[in-house]
Amino acid sequence: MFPSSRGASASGQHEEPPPPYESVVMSDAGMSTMGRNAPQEDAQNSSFDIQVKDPIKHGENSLSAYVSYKVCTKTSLQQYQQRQSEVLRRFKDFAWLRHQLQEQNRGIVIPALPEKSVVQKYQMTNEFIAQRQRALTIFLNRVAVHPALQHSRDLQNFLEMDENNWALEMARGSQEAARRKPGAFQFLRDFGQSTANIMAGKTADEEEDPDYIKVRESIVQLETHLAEIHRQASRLVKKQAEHGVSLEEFSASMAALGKCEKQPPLSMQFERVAEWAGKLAKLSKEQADALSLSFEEPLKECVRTVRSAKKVIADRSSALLVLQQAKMDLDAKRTRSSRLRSSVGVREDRIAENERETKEAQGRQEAAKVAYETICRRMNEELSRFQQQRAQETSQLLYLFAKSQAQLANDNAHMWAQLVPTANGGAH
Amino acid sequence: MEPTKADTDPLSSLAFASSLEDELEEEVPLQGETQHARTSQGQAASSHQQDDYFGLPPHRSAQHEEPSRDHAVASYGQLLSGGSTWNSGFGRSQVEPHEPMGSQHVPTDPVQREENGMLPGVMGKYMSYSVRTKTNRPNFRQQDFAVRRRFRDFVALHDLLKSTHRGFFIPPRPEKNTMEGQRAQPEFIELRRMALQRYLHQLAAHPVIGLSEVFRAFLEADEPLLSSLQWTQLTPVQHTFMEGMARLPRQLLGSESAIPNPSDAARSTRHTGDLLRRFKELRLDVRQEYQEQPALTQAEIDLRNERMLVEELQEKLANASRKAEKLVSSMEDLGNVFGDLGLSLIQTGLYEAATADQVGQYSDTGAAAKIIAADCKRVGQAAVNGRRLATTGAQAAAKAVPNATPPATIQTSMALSPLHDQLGIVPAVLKALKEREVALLTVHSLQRDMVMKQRARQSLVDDGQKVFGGDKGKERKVQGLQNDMATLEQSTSAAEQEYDKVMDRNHQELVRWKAGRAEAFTTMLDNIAKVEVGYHERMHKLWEIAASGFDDRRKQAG
Repeated sequence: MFPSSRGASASGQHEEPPPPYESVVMSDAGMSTMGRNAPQEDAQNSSFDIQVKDPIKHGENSLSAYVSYKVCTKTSLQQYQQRQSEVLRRFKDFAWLRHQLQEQNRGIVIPALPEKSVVQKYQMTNEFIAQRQRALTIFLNRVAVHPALQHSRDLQNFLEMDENNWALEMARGSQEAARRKPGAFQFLRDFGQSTANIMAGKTADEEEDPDYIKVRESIVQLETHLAEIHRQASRLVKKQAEHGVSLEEFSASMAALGKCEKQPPLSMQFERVAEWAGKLAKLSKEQADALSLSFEEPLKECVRTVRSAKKVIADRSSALLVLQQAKMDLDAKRTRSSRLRSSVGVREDRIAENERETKEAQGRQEAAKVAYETICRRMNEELSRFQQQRAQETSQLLYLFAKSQAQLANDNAHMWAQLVPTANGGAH
Repeated sequence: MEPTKADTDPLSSLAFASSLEDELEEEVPLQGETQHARTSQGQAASSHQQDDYFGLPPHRSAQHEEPSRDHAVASYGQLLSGGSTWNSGFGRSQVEPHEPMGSQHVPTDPVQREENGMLPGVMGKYMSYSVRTKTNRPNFRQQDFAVRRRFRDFVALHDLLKSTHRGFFIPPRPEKNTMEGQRAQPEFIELRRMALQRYLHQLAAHPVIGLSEVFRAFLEADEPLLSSLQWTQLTPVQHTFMEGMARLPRQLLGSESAIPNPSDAARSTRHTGDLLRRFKELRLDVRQEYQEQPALTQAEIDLRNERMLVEELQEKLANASRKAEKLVSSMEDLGNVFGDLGLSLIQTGLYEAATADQVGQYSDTGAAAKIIAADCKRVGQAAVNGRRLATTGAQAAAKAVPNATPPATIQTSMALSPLHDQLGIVPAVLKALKEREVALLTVHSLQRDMVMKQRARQSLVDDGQKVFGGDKGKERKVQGLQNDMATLEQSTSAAEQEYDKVMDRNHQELVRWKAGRAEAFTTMLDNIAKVEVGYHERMHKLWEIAASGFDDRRKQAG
């Protein structure tokens, strides 16, 4: 409805008109695979199909051990050199990519990465690596589908560049970062960022859009709620698995009793109960696994995305702060400059110096203004996109959860019904 | 008989004596019982509809006097009272035809409890229970009456049954050992009362014990039980451990006969206080185990095999009982998690709804929040309802609708209760089988004595013949030995008869138990399936409704 039109009419330039937002909305057909929140949309809507697979451990149990993933990309985007590519990347590379995207797209909610592991590298379980792999797939696909991010050069390098060039690029990048002097602007931005964290942008609020403030507040609290839901989802997975174990043990005990009670009708009945209880146990365990995959993990991703949104919010606050600082700084310099001129007997070089400083301050203030306004403009569309996506995905997630519970109950009822004696007497 | 008079009860010396003898009794904690106690505490109220669920036999329809019963501290005791445990374990069909009058009696509620002060300031207060019986049996003096009994009276009943009904599977009585402080608690008193009631019902349901004089005397005799004539007439002379200790030196010195008389020989050494005989039998038992295996009849061998099978069954039953409990407990956990998840979803839904209000319903944020709020609430509510279907929550108990379906955990527990019940029966079975072996031990011991005496006599006779003209002293001894041997002959014969009687009873009971067990388990397996199907079908409906809420919304959105 509204977003694309707003984007086109917004002041300032976009790099190019963003593709239609339908690509973001989940189609029902795409959701037939249980609850995959990754945008597995129809081929015509997306220009990308990215898979992260085949994790390989390198450097067994040594300090430099790491896991590499194969990233397979199929794309129809013109700017890419190949329609299909396969590269090897490690988690550090993903983190780099995200950092770059964040730097260059302030105001956009960058999709979330799975957490860095607090466990040592060589202690990672296969389960953990599989989870990470799934989360990385979702990350890349979300980036690829995001209208503002999909044309990023960094993304393209990440997906296409072969390993040797990539290694060179990474090495060069880190050297440059070390060499680059943090300019005054950079310094102020970092400073602004940290103070924004402390003051939560309170002082800046007078200049902020009041509607934006309401939206901001709503997002800030959201993380807690989502985290709680996720916690319960984890417990559910656990208890479902435990229930499966209980059923299995119960089944075994019924079988044992059946062996003790040797008379045919009774012993056969015990065996049947044992058999079906065993099947039910398997069903329960499968459900636990499915829940973990299609309910718990997506919820975790929801939490991460909200955190990402909060970072963008913080970024905007700090940008505003920087702008305000720059303004204050400029005003101070101007006041000084007028004072200097109006006073007698001041040396020429001091006036000139002051003029220079004033010009610099003006430049900084303008830059800060541009940066801030860019963020605001981007965020307007971004937030609405974010909310829509959130609503769609959460809705789908909960729907699939309800469906899966209904299905599970149905299966359970059918299985137990096999043991109910028929009207003729005897379930055999 | 006037019910419930406030009593002052002078302790009889006999009562004292019998309580001291308790130390010799082996107190086997019954797994079934303890599990009952554990699971029965803390279960929410369930109503008497459950009786129909189990299809209890008609004799349970007698009245209950239940003043303190409306708040339900429901337990399996309550639900299963009415002898259903032992009924189901023991083949109902065998009980009814014996009754010429059709419906039977039910000795019901030990209900009123009163504190009575003790007389000579020796101990303190104790509880007595009112045992009210309603019966239509002709041999009872009245049709509806009540007496007061103390716990030690129940103990005496049990002891008497053990002594007079050797070989029968005597239902286990409620446990004795309690802490002093615990005994005054109302919860404890109520639990004990229910346990005692269940015990009496089980006794009544036993085809032999229920009709026995002992049982009738317990229900009818004047208070206090232990000094009433009707009771003491039935009690064979019991000799205490102390008396046995006193006899022992005389037996060893020979001033008292070491040969049990026939009536004693027919009883177990526990009751005759004959320590020498007890030691002999014990020694023989050990010797038989490690050295000479006696020649056993096939019937005896079969029964010993049977005992091993019962022990194996016990192990499997204990395991199954544990796993059943674990299953119920994991159902409970799962249900609770759903409840917690539901609550967290509902809370989030409320938060989102508030956001929508604040931000404005037509903005993107507001629209998104509204959708999410509705979905969260829908799914959250379903999850919370799921919890109510599955488990007993504190809330569920508080708002218990009288005819509502009980939660799945309770139903499952009840459906699987035959496992616990049968497990509770097994110790009685093992004890009865053991009694037969003990009786056989007595026979063997006496037979051995006989052999020894014969040898002794033979050697005396041989020695005597060596002396010219006979030996008067030896002849007297020989005569004495022959007298002893005559007594021994009679005693051995009495012991053999007792052994046969016990064996018959064992056989009879085993058949009865097997049939009852089969029936109980068949019912159990049917029930568990029915319960689970019902529960899951309800859950299915619940979640279908939730899912359809989404579909409805989509249809509206177009």
